[in-house]
Amino acid sequence: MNELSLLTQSIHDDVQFLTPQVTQCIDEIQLHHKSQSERRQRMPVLVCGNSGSGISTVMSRTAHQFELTSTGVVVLQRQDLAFYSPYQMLLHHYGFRPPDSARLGSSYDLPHYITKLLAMAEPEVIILDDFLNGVIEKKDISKHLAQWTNVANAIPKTSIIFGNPGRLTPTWLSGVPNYKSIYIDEWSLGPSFDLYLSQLSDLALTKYGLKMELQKFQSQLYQHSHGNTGNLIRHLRQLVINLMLNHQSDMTIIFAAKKLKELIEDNARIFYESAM
Amino acid sequence: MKALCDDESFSSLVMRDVFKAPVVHTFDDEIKDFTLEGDPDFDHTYTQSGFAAVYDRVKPHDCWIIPHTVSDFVCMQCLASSLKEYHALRFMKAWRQVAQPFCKSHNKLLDSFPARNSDLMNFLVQKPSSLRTTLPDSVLQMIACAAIKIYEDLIETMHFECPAAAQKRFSAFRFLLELFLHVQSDSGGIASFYMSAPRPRNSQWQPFSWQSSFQTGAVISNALERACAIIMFHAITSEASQISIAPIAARITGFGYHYPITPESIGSLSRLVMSEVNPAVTARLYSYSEILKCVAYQSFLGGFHHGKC
Repeated sequence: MNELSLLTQSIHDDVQFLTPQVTQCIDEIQLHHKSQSERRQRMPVLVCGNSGSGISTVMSRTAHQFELTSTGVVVLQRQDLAFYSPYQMLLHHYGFRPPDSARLGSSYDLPHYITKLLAMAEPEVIILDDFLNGVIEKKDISKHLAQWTNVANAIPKTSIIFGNPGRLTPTWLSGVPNYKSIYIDEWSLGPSFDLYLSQLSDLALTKYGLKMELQKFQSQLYQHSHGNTGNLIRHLRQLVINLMLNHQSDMTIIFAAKKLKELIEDNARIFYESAM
Repeated sequence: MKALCDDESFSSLVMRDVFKAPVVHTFDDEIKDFTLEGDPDFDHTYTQSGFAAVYDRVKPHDCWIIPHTVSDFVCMQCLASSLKEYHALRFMKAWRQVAQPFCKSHNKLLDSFPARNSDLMNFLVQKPSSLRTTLPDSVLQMIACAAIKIYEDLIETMHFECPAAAQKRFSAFRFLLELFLHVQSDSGGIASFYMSAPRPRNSQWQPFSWQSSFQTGAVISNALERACAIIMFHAITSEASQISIAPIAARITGFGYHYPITPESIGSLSRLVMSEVNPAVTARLYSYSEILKCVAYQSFLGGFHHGKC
């Protein structure tokens, strides 16, 4: 049973590939960073798309790419600092713990010590995934945007990259023209999706000896995932586990037709039975 | 965990939250590659909170340190570099040594701030304390470079001496610096006004003995005073000092600081600014003739003995 758990974990780790949309988005960010280097002011980049479209992957890969050549990459984690304003997050990142933290959260102006911090630290890139996580009120959103805009103006040479999952077209974006947005598209049926499935099939064959030929079941998989990469990967992981638990090496239409819920239930049942 | 750095002080490490609870259990592993010997921060503060066992093991020798409660000396350029590179403030051990009022990386005198708060905001909110001088940055840099060179030469000389001789030489260095920095009189030691306005009198530092007046003066003096004292040490202990110090003397005279930096004048002024000279001080000064064998030191003693400018 323990071996099975390890195998499941390995499947979770292995079954993932950069989608062309994610690769394109990373390239676009790099291009934007390079093309803007001569400009007086870099525009903050907003990476938008549905949850599961690959925003987090874009952010982590982009951070990794920048970190290869610079120590000035500031990766902020919103989930750890849910109630922090941009100013508070920056201070916290650099180890400062201001006593008037609450006042900072509601400030529209740029305090002089933030200016000094940014002048000393000279970050080259600031990356923040899900940058409006926990910010719900319209007033708070505008406050966050005002603070980030102040920061961007104070460090014109710094690239600021935000992830904004779950909102394909944020309504507030029309009010802040100084932001560049990049959208990560969902899948559509076609050669690109076909190629991605073929890569995943190759992986399954090499790693687990499974002859899945996912391209043949493109429409079923598209239907199950609604064209979303996150949904597709979740589905395929369960599918690989299901095939292995059923001692099948070939994929059939019966397996391809199973919905995610059915796969999870089936896998859980087999797990339970083998444990008893 | 953020990477350790050999020159970083222990309290700096603690303030960066490297040691998460339970501190003591993980402590030995954390300091495995970390040099605590001679770390000024590793003082009695840590004996209060479960660090006692470790403190006993790595207890430093007396390294002539400036307590956190007095002031915090930093190189702002180094702090900026540490923010850039490590995304955290890193404070170096050397910054709290009386004998090192300079930053060797940037060839400058250290900036002084009041006692450090745990929020670290004073480095963003406050300006460094004034050096009370009209000397421009270029001259201050020249002074810093001279102090660095003198200090490094001293350490190198001691390196080639037998332990007893090296110890005696450092003892002389320390005693003479303290003589130049003391708080015994209204004006303080001569290094406290040679290149700057006199140190303001602070009733908080009223000494009760000549020893405490010497030690107190050393730890409350600013970086310029300490660098000045190091240059004076060089002036009275090296035959070639007049050549190496001449450019500094020429530059500071142009800004209204007219005292000559000669062994005799340093000796006589040192004597004049002391309200009273304890025989023990004179005895100590004469005892160093043995290790500081040079004409300059004899001239200094002559000036000190006669006390005339």
